[in-house]
Amino acid sequence: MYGGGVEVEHLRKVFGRKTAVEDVSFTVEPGAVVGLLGPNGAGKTTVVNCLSTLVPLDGGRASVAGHDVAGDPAGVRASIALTGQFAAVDGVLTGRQNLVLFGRLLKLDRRAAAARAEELLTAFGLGEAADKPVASYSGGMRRRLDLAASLVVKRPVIFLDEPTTGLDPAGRQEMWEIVSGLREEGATLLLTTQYLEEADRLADRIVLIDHGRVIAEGTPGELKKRVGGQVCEVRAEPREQVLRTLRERFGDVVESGGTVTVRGADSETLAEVVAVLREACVEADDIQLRRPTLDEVFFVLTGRAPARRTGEEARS
Amino acid sequence: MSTITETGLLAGRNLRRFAKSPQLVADAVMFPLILLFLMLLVFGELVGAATHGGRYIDRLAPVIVLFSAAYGAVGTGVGFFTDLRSGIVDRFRSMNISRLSVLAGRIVGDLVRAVLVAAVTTAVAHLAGFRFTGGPLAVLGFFAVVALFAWIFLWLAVVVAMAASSEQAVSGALNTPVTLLLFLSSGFVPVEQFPGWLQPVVRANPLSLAGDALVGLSGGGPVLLPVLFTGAWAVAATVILVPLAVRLYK
Repeated sequence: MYGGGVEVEHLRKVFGRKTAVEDVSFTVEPGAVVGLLGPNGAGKTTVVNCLSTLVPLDGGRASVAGHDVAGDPAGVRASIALTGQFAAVDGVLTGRQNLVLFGRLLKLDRRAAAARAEELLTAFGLGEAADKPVASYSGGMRRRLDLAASLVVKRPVIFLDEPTTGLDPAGRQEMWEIVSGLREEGATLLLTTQYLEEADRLADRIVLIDHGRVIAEGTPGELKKRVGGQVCEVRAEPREQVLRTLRERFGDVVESGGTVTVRGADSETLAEVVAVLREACVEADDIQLRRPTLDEVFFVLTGRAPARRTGEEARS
Repeated sequence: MSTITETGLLAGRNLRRFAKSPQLVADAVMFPLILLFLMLLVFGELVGAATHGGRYIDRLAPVIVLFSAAYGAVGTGVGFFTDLRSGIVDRFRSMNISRLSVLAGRIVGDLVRAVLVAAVTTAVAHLAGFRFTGGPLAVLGFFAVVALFAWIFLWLAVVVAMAASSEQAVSGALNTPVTLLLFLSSGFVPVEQFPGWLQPVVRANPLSLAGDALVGLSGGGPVLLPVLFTGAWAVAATVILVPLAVRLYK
C-alpha cells in the first residue's frame, strides 16, 4: 500500500474557452471518505477525470496515493479504482466475462481472475445473473457490476463518480450499503454526487463545489452550522396566521410545503415558539427543532437550490 | 510483453462481441454476398462479354471479398465510437495497462474478423464458380492482401470514430467512401469501360489495385505490381492515420 490519500492544490482545467475547474484544492486523508458535492455541471467529473489521469491538468498539482498525477500517471493508475458516471462495462458480454476480462487485464492469471469474478458476483448480489448478458441487467445491477469491475484488484484509492445517479431508491440503497462496506474496509474514497443526502450519509467531509470552484468545505455538521444554528419547524393551521404571528416575533421565517420554518433557532427559540402559538390560540400539529438540511446549506451558500432528483422526493 | 497480452485480451473481447451479435454477423456476411449474387445475375453476361471471355466471377469475387473488409470497417468505427461514449474506454485508460493496447486490440480483433468474413465470402464464391488455381501459398497471399487492405480501412475507421460527434456521423463518413470505392473500382466493370477522365481514379483506387492482386493470386495474372501498389496504400495509411489515431486517442 502507498502512503498518501488524495491531495489537490489549485487545480485548474480549461476546455476551450470554458473554465471547468478553477483553483480547486482539497485533501482526502488515507482511509477517509470525501464527498465532492455540487449540481450538474459544477466540475465534479472534471476533477475526477484529472485525478484519474484521463485528462491533463491545466494548472495546479494533484497527487494520488503519493504519485503525482502529471509526473507519474502510471503510478496513479496502478493505485486507483474508478467507477464513472456511466456503467463502463461491456453490454454484450456477461457479467462474469466482464469481470474476468478486467481481472486478466490487471494481470491476474486465468484461474485467479475467475475466482475473483465469482467472489465479486456473489458479494454484489449478481450471482444469479452472472452468466447473462449485461444488456439484460437493470440499472442498479449494471452499476453494481461496474463498481465490482473497478474492484477486481484492490486499490488504495477509489473514485466513485455519481454512483447512484439514475438509480431507483432500492438500487441507491444497495449501492450505499456497498459503499459503506468499502469505507469500513478502510478504502480512501472520493465520491461525487449531486445529492445532498448521499454526501451527508456517506462522507466524512464534504467539499461543496459550484461553477468549478470550491465554495465550502467541512464535515456535514460543520457545513450545517455555517447556515447558523438550527431551525424550528412548525406544522399548524391556519398557516397564514402562524406565519404572520411568527414573523412578528422572529427575524428569519419561511414557509414551504405546509411547514413554517424559523431559522437561526436554538432551544430557547423552541420554547418561545410554543409560547407565541399558545398566545395566538393556535394548536400546532408538530413543532420540532432540527439541524438544517444540506439543501438549505447549499441555498444559503450559493443563493440557489441544488440539483434535485426527479420524480420523487429524496430528502429525508 | 504485457502489451501483447493486453492486446490479445481486448482483441478477444471484440471478436466475442461480434460473435455474440447475430445482426452484426448477418450484416457483415450477408450484405457482401447479396451484392455478389446480384452483380453476378445483373452484370454477369454483360461484363463477361466485355472482358474478352474471362469469367466475371473471377474478377467479381475478389472485389466482393475486399468490399466485405472495407464494409466491416464501418462496424469497427461504430463499435469503437460506442466504446468511447459508453465509458468503457475511459475505464481501460484509467487502468494501468498500456494505452496503445486498446487501439491495438481494436485493430487486431477486427483484422481477424475481416479475414474470417473474407474466408466465408470466398467459400460461398467457390459455390458460384470461383477457384484458387495457384496453390496453398497463393491462398495465403490472397488473405494476406485482404488483411493489408482491411488495415487501411480499420485505421480510417478508428480515426473517424474519435473525430465524429455521433454514431450516424461515423457510419455516414465511412459508408460513403467505401461505397464510392466499390463502384469506382475495376471489379464491377473493367477500367476501359469508364470514361477516360475517370480511369486514373479507377486505376489508383486501392480496391482496384488490391482486386488485381487478388485476381492474380487466385486465378493467375500479374501479382507483384498490384501487391506493391496495395502495400504503398497501406504504408501511406500507416504513416498518416496511425500517428493521427494515436494522437487523438491520447
